Amino acid sequence: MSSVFPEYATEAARQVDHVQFFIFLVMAFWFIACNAVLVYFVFRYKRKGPDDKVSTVKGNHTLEVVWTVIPTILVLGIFYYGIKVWAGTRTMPDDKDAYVVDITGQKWSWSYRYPDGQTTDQDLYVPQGEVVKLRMNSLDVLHSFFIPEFRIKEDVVPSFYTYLWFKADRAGVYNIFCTEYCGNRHSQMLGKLHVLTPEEWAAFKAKDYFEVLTPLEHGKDLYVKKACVGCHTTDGSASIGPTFKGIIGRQETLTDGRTLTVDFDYIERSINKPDDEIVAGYPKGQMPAFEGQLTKQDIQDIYTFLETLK
Amino acid sequence: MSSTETQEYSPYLQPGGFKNWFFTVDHKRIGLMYLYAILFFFIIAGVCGLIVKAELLAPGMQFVDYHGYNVFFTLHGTIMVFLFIVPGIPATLGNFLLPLMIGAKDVAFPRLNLLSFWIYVLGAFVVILSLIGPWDEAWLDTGWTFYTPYSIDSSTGVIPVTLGAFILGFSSVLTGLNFVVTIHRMRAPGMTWHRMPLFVWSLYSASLIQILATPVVGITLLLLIMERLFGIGFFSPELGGDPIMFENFFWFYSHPVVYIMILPAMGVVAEILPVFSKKAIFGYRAIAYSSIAIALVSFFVWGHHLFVSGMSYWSRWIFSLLTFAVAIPTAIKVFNWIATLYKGSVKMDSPMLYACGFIFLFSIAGLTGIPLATLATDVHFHDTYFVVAHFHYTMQGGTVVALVGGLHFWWPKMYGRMYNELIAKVGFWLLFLGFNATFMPMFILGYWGMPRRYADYMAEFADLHFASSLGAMVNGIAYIVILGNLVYAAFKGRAAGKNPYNSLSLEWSIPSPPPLTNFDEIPTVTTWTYGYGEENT
Repeated sequence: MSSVFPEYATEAARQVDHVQFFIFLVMAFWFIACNAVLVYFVFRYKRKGPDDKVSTVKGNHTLEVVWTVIPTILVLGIFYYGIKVWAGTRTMPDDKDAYVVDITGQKWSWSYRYPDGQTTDQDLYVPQGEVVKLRMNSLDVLHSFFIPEFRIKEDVVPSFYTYLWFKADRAGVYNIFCTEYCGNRHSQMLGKLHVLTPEEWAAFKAKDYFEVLTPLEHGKDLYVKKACVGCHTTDGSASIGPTFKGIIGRQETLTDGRTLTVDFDYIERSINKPDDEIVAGYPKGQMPAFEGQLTKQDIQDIYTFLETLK
Repeated sequence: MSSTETQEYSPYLQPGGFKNWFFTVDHKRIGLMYLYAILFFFIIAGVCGLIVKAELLAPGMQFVDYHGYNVFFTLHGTIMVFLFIVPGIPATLGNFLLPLMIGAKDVAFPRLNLLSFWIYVLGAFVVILSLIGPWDEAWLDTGWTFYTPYSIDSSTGVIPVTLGAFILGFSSVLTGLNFVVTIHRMRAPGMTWHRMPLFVWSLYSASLIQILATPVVGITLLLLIMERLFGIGFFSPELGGDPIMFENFFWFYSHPVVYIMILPAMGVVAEILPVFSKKAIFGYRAIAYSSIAIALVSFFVWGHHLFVSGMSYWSRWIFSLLTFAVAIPTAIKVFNWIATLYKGSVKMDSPMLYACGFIFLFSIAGLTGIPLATLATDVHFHDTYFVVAHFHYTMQGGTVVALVGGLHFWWPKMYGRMYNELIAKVGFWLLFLGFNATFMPMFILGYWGMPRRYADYMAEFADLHFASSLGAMVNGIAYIVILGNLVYAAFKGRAAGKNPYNSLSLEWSIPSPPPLTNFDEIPTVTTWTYGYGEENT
């Protein structure tokens, strides 16, 4: 951040900044006016002695009317300007042409599903200069999807779909923050928005944008992007969940007293329905159930990755 | 009244002893007990806040882990709101001063007043129960707002804290009820509505909100407890409930409650300004009626907390407009306070320093509310540090500064002793400096998009976080100086006399500290409270 004013990356954001700048001028005027008069009075009418002559004025009707009417007109003006620009940021230009991405929030990761069936996690890819609509839903608690450079934000809730839209003018990478408190790793629920140039976008659509990953690389990628990394270390230290170091083939005792050897079946069951078989000493309700989100292939790749953590 | 000195006089502070205080029905003693209790929790919550700011000195995690951070910002908010600032000025200064200001021997229902205090103690005790149990599972981490469904899923102590807040609500309702009846029924002969001190008007407005809004949050928290215990399905989407309904219920109370906190603070300032300007308050009726106006409008603006919650287009539109309505009476108050100094005789003793500091800080608080009421800009600011800075300017820069100023102002009345003026001024400037250094950078951080309630942050936010955390430490030290000075004064300060500031208000017409019965005979009021410059030259 080189300047006090944050960068903007859409036309809508530029308009929001105009509103903000106008409000800032109003704020600065009233702040300086009020406090300058206050400070002036403090020095001008400083007590000189116990016999100071003071005014007996108790009020002034004209003044009361003036300083009621002026702020009223001013705030109505700001309200109107704010509503006008905001309406533009909420109303889709043309619904039919929008590129619709489905966004799912869960503790503590974002996943995206594109119209052609492609999916990505944490990193969202959109075309430059096209109207993009985000259709958002949560699998667990409240989250909020915030792109500071676009000046847009909307909560992601489990009970209904919410939406955002934007038209990104500049290619580049932008931050995505979760701004509704969602528990332990709320501050790590960070994504990146990649606005791709037409060439990059064509490659993305043709599924050539990413390098082809080996099962091991894919498994490791999922470990990071599905936010497993937040609770399961690979260095042997305990965290919110058991460490993945040496997990395959390890003897574990479950909360119900059973012991088992960690194998592919247990890994698969634990990814799909983690709360059913919790290792003793770890809390329930922390890990999202990934049933239906990961294919058998995905889980096999994660297993391949886990096997390497000796 | 002049006969008080010749009669046998025993100040209300004697006799001491646990039984004489804990079972007293005297409003002044109850006010002091509240004061000790809320200051205790203020210190606890303040330390939690400092732990949060210490962790934020640098990116990465240094002193606590993610859960620890979440616990401490939750404790900071929960204790500050429910145990400190909601009882705040009404329960302490209000209890002590209300009967004295209107010429009454006590509040309308003295035993109910004691019951309010006992309920407060019980509620505080239940909140503390949430700390029993393993730190990673029992200590609350939901934030003071208890948003569903997280508060339903969380393994931490949601039930003891919300049950405690539910109990504390009764204390608040009973105090409000007591004050409203007292103001209606207990005014001395001649103390008409328009002769009342403005502090009384502000207590009246705040009491109305306490009575009308508190039951809503009580029921809401009870529903949340039932949801957790029995899975009924009020707020859980998988059971057909609506988590957003909780937000609506919660803010239906928790926005008006902001005015329970700030209106009495405005009342304190309106008492200090005329005394130290030796001048009548400017626009008495405008200030009095704007308190009532703010109380009424406060019930219709809760939706601005839901501007990005998925609420409907037109709801956002309407709540934005309604929110701007609060700006008008607030602006009127500020203008009238400042005009009070016009052609006065202004002495900048520490209470006046606090009153003027209040106007300065509150003007920032009020003006930064404008971009949060404006839809286009709020979408960006929502749930960022900008909001955190804004409400700390109202709550600490406003309410706490007014409370501390009021404590300085009335300390000689409460204890009959004077604080050290120089240390009081040093304390003010430390607070002023530390506070601004803490929260001014947070406005900029919020503008840059720094989300609130983040245990960790990106490197580009590091410099301002560092500055803000250093400011917080100065802010903390300021309170040690301020409270140390006051506590010392209560024991060792020089005797203050009954009216050290030459105030015309009724509470200064009786000895300091006041006798247990306040007035030997109920005074008859013939003049306005603010007749400065008229009778005494």
